[in-house]
Amino acid sequence: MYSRTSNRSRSILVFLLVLAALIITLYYRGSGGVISRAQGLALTVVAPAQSAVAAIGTPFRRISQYSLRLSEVTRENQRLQRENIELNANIGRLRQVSAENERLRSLAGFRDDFKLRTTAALVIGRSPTSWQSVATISLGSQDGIKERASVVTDRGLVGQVVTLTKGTAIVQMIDDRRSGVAVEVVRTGATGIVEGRLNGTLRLRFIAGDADIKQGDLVVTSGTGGVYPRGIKVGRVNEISDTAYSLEKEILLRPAVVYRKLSEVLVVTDRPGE
Amino acid sequence: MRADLRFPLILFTTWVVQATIVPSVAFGAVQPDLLLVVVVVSAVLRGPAFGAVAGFSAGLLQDLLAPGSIGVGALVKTAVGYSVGTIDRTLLGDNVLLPVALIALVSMGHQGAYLGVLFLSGEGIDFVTFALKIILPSAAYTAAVGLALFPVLGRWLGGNQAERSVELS
Repeated sequence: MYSRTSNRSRSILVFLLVLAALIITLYYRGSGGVISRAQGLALTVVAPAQSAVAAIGTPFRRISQYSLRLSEVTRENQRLQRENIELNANIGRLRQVSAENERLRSLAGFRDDFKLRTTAALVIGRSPTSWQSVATISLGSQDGIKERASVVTDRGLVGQVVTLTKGTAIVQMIDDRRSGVAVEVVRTGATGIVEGRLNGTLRLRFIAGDADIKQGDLVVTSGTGGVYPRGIKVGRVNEISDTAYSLEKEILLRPAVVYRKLSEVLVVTDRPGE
Repeated sequence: MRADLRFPLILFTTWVVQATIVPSVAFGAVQPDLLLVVVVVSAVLRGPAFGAVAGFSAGLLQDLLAPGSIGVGALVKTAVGYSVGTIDRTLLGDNVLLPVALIALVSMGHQGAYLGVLFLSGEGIDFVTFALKIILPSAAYTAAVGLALFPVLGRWLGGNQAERSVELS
């Protein structure tokens, strides 16, 4: 074997490594105006192609989803019909309770956190690497979207807007490894932070050691921190285990939303209750 | 078309495909890294300097669409491009499986290095989980795609004898 390296090659390598390190430093220090502009440009270039692919792919994806879910839907339909009968019976009673609740909330000065104004957006692109869980959506600053706006679906929390251009935005999903969501366990009121794990599950952390957590417990946003509105479904406790080298229990959640299969989302544009 | 124009065109097209079509054939977080295949082929055919430039460009383009760690992909792919470029091309011969094995190994090294840089920058990384659930399957997926792409890219990017002879001198 002979050497393919030369002084010129080594100089190029050193120059590029230093340049990459400089870019990382600028980005982590938050002083990357040029980087943000480059990101915006990259999104602007790729977004039309992403929209086109999303538009072509959506009908096929839906057809395959429908055919795969046909028997599941039939069973679910039968179950829902039974539930519907029971629920109708409960509606009258719940209306009474709701009216009473509203009166009490008004008296106590509570805000209604669930009155969210949202705008529907299409998911036109997903993460080009395995290491981030992000999606590009079809709305941007010209549509009234702001950075850190919450993104949800009817099933639960999706994430927040982290990068904006005029016509598109990048959403960081809550299963991204850099994501942290302040949450509350509905049954007990215990609070903690949900972190992303990239493999489709979420980890519940920083929860009190004596907190009563059971499999199946519903976890919702607590509203602490101000990024996400209160009460949005995050997931259910799926696995609780002791870890060998930590006092903290390993609590894994099954997310309410399948982040990598989303085709439409809702972006929260206003939270008038707050 | 001159070889000098072929590379940017292939890089740009691969970048668009990586951002548009590849995520829809992903299994969870596991997806092939087409840009890595382009970097490996470029480096094998044109040597370490070209490999480093190809790696830097590909990594930076990928980083721009995945906010959170901009520059990390550029850093790691630069090192990958240079390292692969130092391998004697004749060692790979006409065997298709050797380049594919190389892509699998490089993919594992690339992702391990990526995680290492993130770890050094202060992120909590669960190496075992990432290795089993993302690095190994992604390397296999990238190698499988590389099996189909390597000969095609080799034909498109090959033939720049003048540049290679400079590298070899």
